[in-house]
Order: sequence, then structure tokens, then C-alpha cells
Amino acid sequence: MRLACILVVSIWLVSGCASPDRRSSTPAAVSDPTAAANSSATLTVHGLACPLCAHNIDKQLLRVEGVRTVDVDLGTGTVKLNFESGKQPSDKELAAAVEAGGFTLNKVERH
Amino acid sequence: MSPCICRTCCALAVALTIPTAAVMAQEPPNAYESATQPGPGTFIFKPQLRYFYLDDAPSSPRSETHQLNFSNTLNFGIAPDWSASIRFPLEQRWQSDRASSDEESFGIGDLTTLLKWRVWRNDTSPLDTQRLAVFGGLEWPLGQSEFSSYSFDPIVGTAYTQVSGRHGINLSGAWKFTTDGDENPLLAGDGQADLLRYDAAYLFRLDPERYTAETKGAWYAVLELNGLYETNGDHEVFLSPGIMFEAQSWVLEFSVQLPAVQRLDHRPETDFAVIFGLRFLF
Repeated sequence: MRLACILVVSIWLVSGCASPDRRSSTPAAVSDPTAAANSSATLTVHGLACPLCAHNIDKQLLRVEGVRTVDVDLGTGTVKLNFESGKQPSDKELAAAVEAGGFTLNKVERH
Repeated sequence: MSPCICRTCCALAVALTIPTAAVMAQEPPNAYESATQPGPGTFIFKPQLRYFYLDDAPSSPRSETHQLNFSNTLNFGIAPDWSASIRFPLEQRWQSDRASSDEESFGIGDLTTLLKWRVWRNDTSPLDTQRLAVFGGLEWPLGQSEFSSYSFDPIVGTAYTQVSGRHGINLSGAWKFTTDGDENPLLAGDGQADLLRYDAAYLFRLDPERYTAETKGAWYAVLELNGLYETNGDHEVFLSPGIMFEAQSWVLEFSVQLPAVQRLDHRPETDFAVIFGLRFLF
């Protein structure tokens, strides 16, 4: 019984701490009126085996300076990035973030 | 340490673990390890509740045993190919004997710390991947309950994970060098013999058939084979059907372990086990 109580409390606490499901993020992105003017890129990534994997790459890419939003498409294996105004992470920085997530960067297309 | 203090420590330890917690992809519920891991600075917290029912042999003074194991695993990425994990189990046991008296016990099991190195990765298409990892670590005695081994036991192992479209395979093997243990163990690995754990799992993505940009989660059917061989000759193999739902930042898993092979001379047979687990990615 004690164990059951601990389990219930633990799950309740953890679910409160867990970040919400999201593909594209940063709260600022939603209300930023300059978003449309920002540059973007599409990464083709290999090894995105599952929805959880997509979240892992999302977290790594959002840590790259200049990346505003990340949008993973598991259907095509592409990751769309929007950059902050005036900031353009290099291909090397993006490749390092993809590698850190445990995936392989195949191609970078800038728009 | 009094039982009251011991229980308070358990609850505190769980509470302290939770806020820093976090998950892993395509990892079957009963596998000891998989070759997937979180990236640097990312955490996976895996609380898992496991219920065992053991029906003792007629010669045993005990008639039946129920055991709940609440395992909390925190896995964190420390470099692109390196991760570490800490597993903290709480145990509760109910036993009845043939003289019709019941006994209940609660305590902390051994703490397990592991370091995992992904030695090979081959991402062949947007969704397909093959990964191989090796790991090593130690089981540490915690507390002074009947659930502690009172020994430091090294562990080494390897894991292979492959995902090809809707199909996933996970293979793992781990050897525990037991330095001391219970003279009358109930479960594999609790005694004084070394333990080989070998696990094979097949995962099939039930839904969606194809991923799209709108995919928010996936359902998997899982079938596992979980083997436990001890150097005293005891050998137990379970077939474990299960189901798993994987969302973008959490996973829910449910599995039942049913015995397929039981050649046991040193401990009772496990009639079945039920596993319910969650994983959270932070």
C-alpha cells in the first residue's frame, strides 16, 4: 500500500514537471511579429525512428544560438528551422546539434 | 536505522529524484538496456511498477509470495555517445506461510549505476537506424532491509537496437558479477550466483501505418523473450507480450511476463509478473 501511494504521488509530480508535447517551440515564437521576416532552413535527417526521437532532436536544436523554432516532420524526415533576426547558425553548428541528438544530418537547405 | 526512518528516506529519495527526471525511444518494457539514449543535457525518467507472484514449491515453508517493485530510473546524456543512469528500487513484499501467518515487508533494493557508450550507429534513411552500445556499472547496497544484497556487484553488457520502418528489434545481454547475496533468494540475481540476463524484443508499430507531419504519437505491439541464467544452474525464460504508446515527450508501457522455461533449484518459480511503466523526456 505504501508503495502504491509513493507511485501515485511520483507520477503526479513527474507529469507536472514534464514539458508539454510540442513539435515547434519557444513561447516567444508565437507572439513575435518579426517571425515572418526571419530566415529559415530545412534539414534532412536520418535515423528519426519515432515520435520521442523527434523530441530529442527538437531539444538539441533549440539550444543552438539563433534557432527560434523547430518543426519535425517524421513523414519526410525533415526538420524545419526558423532563425532569429540577424542570426544564422552555421551548418557545422546545426550538424553538431543533430549529432548530439543521436542522428545523422544528410542535407541543409537554406531559404 | 528504524523502519520509520528508512521509509521516510525512501519517500524523500523519490521526491528528490523526480524534479530532475526524464525517457528513451523504442525501448521494450523488460529489456535491461537498449542502444538508444538521450542527448547531452537531456534527461529521461522512467518510473516502473512491477508485480510478481511466486508460488513456492510444496516443500517450502511459504505458500505464496506477492512482491511489488517500484523502480525509478534516471537516464541522462553526458556526451553525444555517452549516457549514464541511476536506478533506485523500492520493494514491498507480502508472504504467507503454511502456518497461516502473513508477513509484510518494505525496503530499499540495491541502487544500480550504469555508464553507456554508443559504439556504432548507422542511420540508413529518415526513419531507419541501427545502433550498438556497451555498458558497465555497479549495484550498490542501500539501506539495511531484506531487499539489500549488502554487496557491491559489477555489471557489464551490450545492447543492439534496430528500427526498420514499422519494425523494431532490441537485443541485450548483461552479466552481473555477484560478490554476495541472499542465501535463500526469491528472485533471480538476489542470490550468491552470477547472473546472465539476455533479452530479445520485437516491436511492431500498430498505428500510424505511416508517419506524417501531424503524427503526435505511435502505438506499438511488443513481444519479448527475457532470459535469466544463474551460475548455480537456475534458468528461467519468460515470454512477455506488451503494448506501448510513445508520444513526443512521454511513453506509456504495459507488459505481462509469462514463464516459458523454469529450471530452478535455488529459488521459487515466478508464476507471472505484470509491468506498468512510464517514461518522461525532459
